[in-house]
Amino acid sequence: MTLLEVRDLRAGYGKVDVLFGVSLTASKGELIGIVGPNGAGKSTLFGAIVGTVGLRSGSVFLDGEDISGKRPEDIVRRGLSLVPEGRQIFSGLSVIENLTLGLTGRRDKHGEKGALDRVHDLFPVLTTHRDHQAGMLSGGQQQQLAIARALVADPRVLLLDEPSLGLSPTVVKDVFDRLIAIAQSGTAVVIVEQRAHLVTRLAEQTHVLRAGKVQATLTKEDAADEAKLTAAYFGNSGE
Amino acid sequence: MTTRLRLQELLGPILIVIAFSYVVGLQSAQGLLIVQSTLALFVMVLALHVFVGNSGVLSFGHGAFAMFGAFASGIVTTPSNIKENSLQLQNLYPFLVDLNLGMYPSLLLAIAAGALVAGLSGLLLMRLNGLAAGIATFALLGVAYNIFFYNNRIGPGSQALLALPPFQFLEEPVVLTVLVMLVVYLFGISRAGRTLRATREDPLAAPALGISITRVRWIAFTLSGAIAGLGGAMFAHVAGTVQVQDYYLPYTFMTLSMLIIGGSASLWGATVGTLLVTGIGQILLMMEQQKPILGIVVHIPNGTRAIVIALSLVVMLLWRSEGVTQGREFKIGMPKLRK
Amino acid sequence: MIQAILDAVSLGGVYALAALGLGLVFGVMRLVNFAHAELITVASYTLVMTHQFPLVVSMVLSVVVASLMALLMELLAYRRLRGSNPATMLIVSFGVSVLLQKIYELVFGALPRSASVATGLTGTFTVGGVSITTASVVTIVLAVVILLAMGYLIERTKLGLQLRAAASDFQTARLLGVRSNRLIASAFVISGALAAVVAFVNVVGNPQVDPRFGLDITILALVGIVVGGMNSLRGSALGGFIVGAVLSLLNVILGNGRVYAYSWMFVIVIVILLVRPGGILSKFATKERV
Repeated sequence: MTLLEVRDLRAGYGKVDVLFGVSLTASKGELIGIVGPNGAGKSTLFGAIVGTVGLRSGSVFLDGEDISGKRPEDIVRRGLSLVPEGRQIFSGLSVIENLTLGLTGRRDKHGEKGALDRVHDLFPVLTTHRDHQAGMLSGGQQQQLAIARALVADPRVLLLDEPSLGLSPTVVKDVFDRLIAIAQSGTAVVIVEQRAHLVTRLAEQTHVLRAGKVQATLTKEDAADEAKLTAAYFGNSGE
Repeated sequence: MTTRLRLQELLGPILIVIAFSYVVGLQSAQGLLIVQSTLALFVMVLALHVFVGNSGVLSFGHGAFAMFGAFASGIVTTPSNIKENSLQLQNLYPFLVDLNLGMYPSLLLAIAAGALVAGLSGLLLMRLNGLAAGIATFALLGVAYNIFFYNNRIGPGSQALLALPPFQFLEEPVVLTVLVMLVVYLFGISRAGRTLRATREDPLAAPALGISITRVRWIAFTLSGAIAGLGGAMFAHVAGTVQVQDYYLPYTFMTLSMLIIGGSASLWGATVGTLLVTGIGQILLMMEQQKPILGIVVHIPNGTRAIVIALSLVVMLLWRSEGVTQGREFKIGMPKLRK
Repeated sequence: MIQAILDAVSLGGVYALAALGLGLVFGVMRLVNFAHAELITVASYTLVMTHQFPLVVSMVLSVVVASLMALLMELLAYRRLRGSNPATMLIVSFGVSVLLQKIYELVFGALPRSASVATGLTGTFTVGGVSITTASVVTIVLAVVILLAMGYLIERTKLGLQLRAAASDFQTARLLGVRSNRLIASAFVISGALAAVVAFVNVVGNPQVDPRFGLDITILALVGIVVGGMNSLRGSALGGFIVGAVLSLLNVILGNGRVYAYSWMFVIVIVILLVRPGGILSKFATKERV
């Protein structure tokens, strides 16, 4: 069942175009990777999906519904959450206040308690630091909070922008293990990573984005082939 | 964007200002007064253009420089017998009582006063950007107003100076205005002016090129302070009076509106804005006073004029923030259509 | 002496409320709403024009009118400016302020309108041999009650949490589902209601309402939010209080020099903007967010 479908998306800022027709899909329970060098348009792609970057053309469907050009707050309320680059937690607010804000985007207001309980199970450390200022948490804990804050909205699609940024390798492994668990529970998970090897081995499909276009799409098996990966990442022509 | 001298960009606005001055100014005594006060306001608008237009930084503080210019020129041109005998001037510093100059030397003094105050305050203020600059320059205006309003050693306090020599001929303000336009235009195409505009477009690039934004801004601020001092003094010599309230919020608002409505980035914008606001204002004034316009009497309630001007500023900022001219300079011929 | 302290506290309280109104709107959209002055003015006119009604009715009306006016400002002018450069927004709000003043002039005339509002509050009473004005005590009580209520709203309710979140990062708040239009509208409505409270205590003290009635207090409240820190609501309110209290005390202390108290305030503003743009309470200088 396809939850997220992006069709021929073009987007940019002001007069500068960044994306030149990107298409991809993500189904229930699937983990999709998007990799590519700096400036390839990865964050712009997410911005265009969640409504913070203006679309030039193309469309985005969430579970069959066209959400292109809708406002970010309406998109999250329909079940698509983004964990932004650099986590963007509210460092001046407490952990529980951050999570409570995450509840704003829920469609079903009755399940709030249950949703909080579930993320506390998934990230026990957040229970320990419930009333502490979020800015005092370690980088890994802040990343967990950012993911938990998105999860309490019960998203059908979860986008993560560079979740490994600034984290130590062990913490990265921990975070990715949880992301796999989240995908297995039925959420479509899309991860943008600059460090390609982190996702290629886990993702059903990994799209290589370069210069605003999907240059190649790799399966898990392709990713194991180092030569194929390198070729896709840097381009064959050696430009 | 202008980078070198193009005569039509300079001569176009100058000729239009001269034409306006003579066509309106020679009609009646009232027309003369309108032209003189418009030119005085225009010089102030030009002062704002030099700084705000070139740097992109907002200033509410130029009214302060105009105040200093107006009072400097006003005090030294008030006849000494009035300074000695007037009740509201009895606390004046003795050296101000003794200092008496003619109108033209007093205008030079006004320019110096404006430049001095702007130069000194600019040393601090030019380090600020955006909102902080807006608020800080507003605070500067507040300080100047507060001091002139209460300090009767340097001026008449909240009272007015009433006996300044007014301009005798239409040519006086016209020549002064044209000179200022020349200076403003030359600054715009000078190295400092071009650099400043470059910092407006891209504040991050400037330090990379080894340009000190603070320094070029300070140069523009001081120059515009000097011009504002002159504009303030000219405004005083139109009617022959100065009062501190004349240079406070309504004055700041009027001149900023003229600049923004016309388009702050060009000499042509400042010219168009001033003439347009004056023209609309005069037509509305005639309506308020039930005078015929082209034989037709339209009556609107008193106060409509001020509302229309304020409304135009807001509407202009909301829908066309680069002003009527969109920041372009004067050009003869059809504007090229953009694809 | 006691009266001087009471005056300082009550003036501080009033300015804290005005600064909080400005700070709320600044928090959600980086707009320094100069036209807050005209919200205070319109609420004051409402109080004066309805002085024959029961006081409570008149007060409620003034809150409603000021809140509606705030909502209209947002809808007709400021909505188009979301995300614009704060300096542009400042000058637009300056324009809106002048525009409304001129409209008031047309509607109510340039001369002050006056009527005795809440006459019961204008007297003095004596405690232990010290004569105290009723107005100062009422103002303090009112300011404390409203500030506590605002404190509760901001710290303990969902709306308050969203306001705080939006003030620190609006974009991320929206990504979590915070409805921007509704939140900004709420901030304006609350700031309108606060303006009405400020109007009430001012009209009681000086029932001469002219089109510029709210201007001075707004300029000083603006000084307050710069002093206290524009990025924090608590800072705004505290900054407003400090400005009001200091101004009131300077009036007593400076003697003949008190007329320059405003200049000192403005000089302090410039210094703070230069050395500590985040306000005197901030631990470190914060950069202006775009």
